[in-house]
Amino acid sequence: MGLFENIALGIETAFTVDALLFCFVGVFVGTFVGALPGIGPLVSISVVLPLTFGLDPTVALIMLAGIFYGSQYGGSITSILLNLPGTASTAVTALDGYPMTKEGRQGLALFINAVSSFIGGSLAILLMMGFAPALAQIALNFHSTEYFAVMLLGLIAASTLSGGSALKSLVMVTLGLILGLVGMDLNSGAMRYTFGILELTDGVSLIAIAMGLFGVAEIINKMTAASAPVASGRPKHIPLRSMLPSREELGQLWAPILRGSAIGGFVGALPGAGPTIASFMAYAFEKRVSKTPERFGKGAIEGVAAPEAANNASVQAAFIPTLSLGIPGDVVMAVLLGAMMMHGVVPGPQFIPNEPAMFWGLVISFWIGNVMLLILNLPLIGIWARLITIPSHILMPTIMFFICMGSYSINNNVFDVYVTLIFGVVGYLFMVFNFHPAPVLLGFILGPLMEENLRRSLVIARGDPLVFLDRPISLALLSISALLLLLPLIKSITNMRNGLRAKASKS
Amino acid sequence: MQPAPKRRSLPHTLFCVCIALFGAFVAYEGMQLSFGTLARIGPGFFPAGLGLVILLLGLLTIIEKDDAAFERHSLRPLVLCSLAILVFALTVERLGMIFAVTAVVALSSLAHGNTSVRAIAGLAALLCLTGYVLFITMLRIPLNPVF
Repeated sequence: MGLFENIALGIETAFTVDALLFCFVGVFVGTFVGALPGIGPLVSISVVLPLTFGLDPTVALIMLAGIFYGSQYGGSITSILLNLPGTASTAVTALDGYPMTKEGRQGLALFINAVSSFIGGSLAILLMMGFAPALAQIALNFHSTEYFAVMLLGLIAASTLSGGSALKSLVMVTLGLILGLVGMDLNSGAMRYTFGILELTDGVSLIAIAMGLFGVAEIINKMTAASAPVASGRPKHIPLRSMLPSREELGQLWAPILRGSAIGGFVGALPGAGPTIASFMAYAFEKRVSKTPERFGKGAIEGVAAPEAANNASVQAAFIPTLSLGIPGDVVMAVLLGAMMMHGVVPGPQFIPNEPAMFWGLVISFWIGNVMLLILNLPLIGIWARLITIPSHILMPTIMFFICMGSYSINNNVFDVYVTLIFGVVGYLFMVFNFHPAPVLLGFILGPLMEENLRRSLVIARGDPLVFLDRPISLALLSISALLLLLPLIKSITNMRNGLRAKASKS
Repeated sequence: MQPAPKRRSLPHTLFCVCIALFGAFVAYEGMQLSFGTLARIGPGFFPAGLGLVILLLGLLTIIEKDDAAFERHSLRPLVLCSLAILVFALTVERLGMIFAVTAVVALSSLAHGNTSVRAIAGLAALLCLTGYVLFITMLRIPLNPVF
């Protein structure tokens, strides 16, 4: 099928009343939860997921995706206006966005935010339209050996690239892998780690885990750190005209937006690296290439444009490995993959050729969603500014309500509520001890798949484990994984040596 | 001058030990299942392997240099939020949605430090209504508002 037929198919799928309605609901909810500090796209998608079971799978995915990229728009609103980032990825925007508000230039900042986000997202969608089908084609030549290697690389990349202790993230990933294996093994019929509990035969519920680890744990965390900064005053009305940039400013903007989009698109497509890293890298890069770096941190418009383009680009680009290979590009993508599987859609390289309507429908809906967001973020900005000052003592119990009802409604069984509870407590403990919970979900989704591919490779190779090194693509992927594992190790050894040398030179 | 290396705090070490023990447990359970041969791996192969990996990684995290200081935190939000979910799970089927939701709202509000009875009651009422409309009516979750 040529590109034009595909686009036509996508338009046909995405422009139904259902699809448009739920796209709007998705981006609206996304902007809302993005703006609210305390809940993010991950929890919202987990909570909304059980509610989508009655919907057509494509429409459900359109809405859930809308929540995801919508949250990148919304998160920046509070960053700029109140110096309170709604999501981690928008923290960087506050560095120059908030000073602009203090100077009274918040209208301009919000405009730059909306436009950069739109351009960043659009460019990444173009990237996806070009790359994802091509990548899927290449991947169709993958055998189970390559799949295993790619998944391993994805997990290791996610652990080592996402900041914080790589070692601890590896622990989290492995924990996720083990959790994914709980239940009946399809190959042998053996019950693994079920301990006689009937409800565990099908495995632990992804949504229950996600709600516990990211919802409950986050709420407990926020409540414990109750000395959080309070929103300073109500934001004033922002007239539309104050938002428009001058000609000169426009000239300064296009380069940072393009650079940010490029960084975001690249970073987002990597499994494990997400919008947070993308926005930080874009900001750092922009500062480094600027001729006047001292303006950054005081209200430089490039400091708003670049990270915003980057985080939206990365969020759209994360769909590339997810939809073309079935490897989640981000934790939220892992949940979306789970959603696809729950709706009976099999992700992987066969997805795009088998379900072109769904893929292209999603792509076109991304365009639609981004346009809707542009409208929501510009003229309707005043509504958001007022909406987000909901006090947290109303918000937190409300979220708890949704989490409880949501986890019950997965299987109409209180067992899942208990699962959410356990993972909430455990998740909080992880946070306290600096273990990032996100990689658990990646491991959870990929665990059973990895085992299957491992088993298949070994069966085909008649038990020869060297098969992973014989095949060239697999060898290449495994080498990169090994490299990523060794790099932090080398760094800490070098640190220790430098420390010892410094000590020796003093004595 | 070189900053003194941060000392490992006891709770952190204990936690990592727990993780290592968990890995040992997973590996042990995995070994109860058949390993199979390399050509035809059995159900216990992958889990046991992963268990060993966690055991090893857990031990390594104990000796890793600490990246952030561990502070004492109040236990109240943890206890009360857990209680909220627990009560919900125990009562939602036996005592109905309204009771369960009210309990959740009350306990989470207390966890957050809000003790105004009026605010809690108001929010609980609103959420019970939302729960009824959204979950029971629109989504047909088989829950009774009242037992």
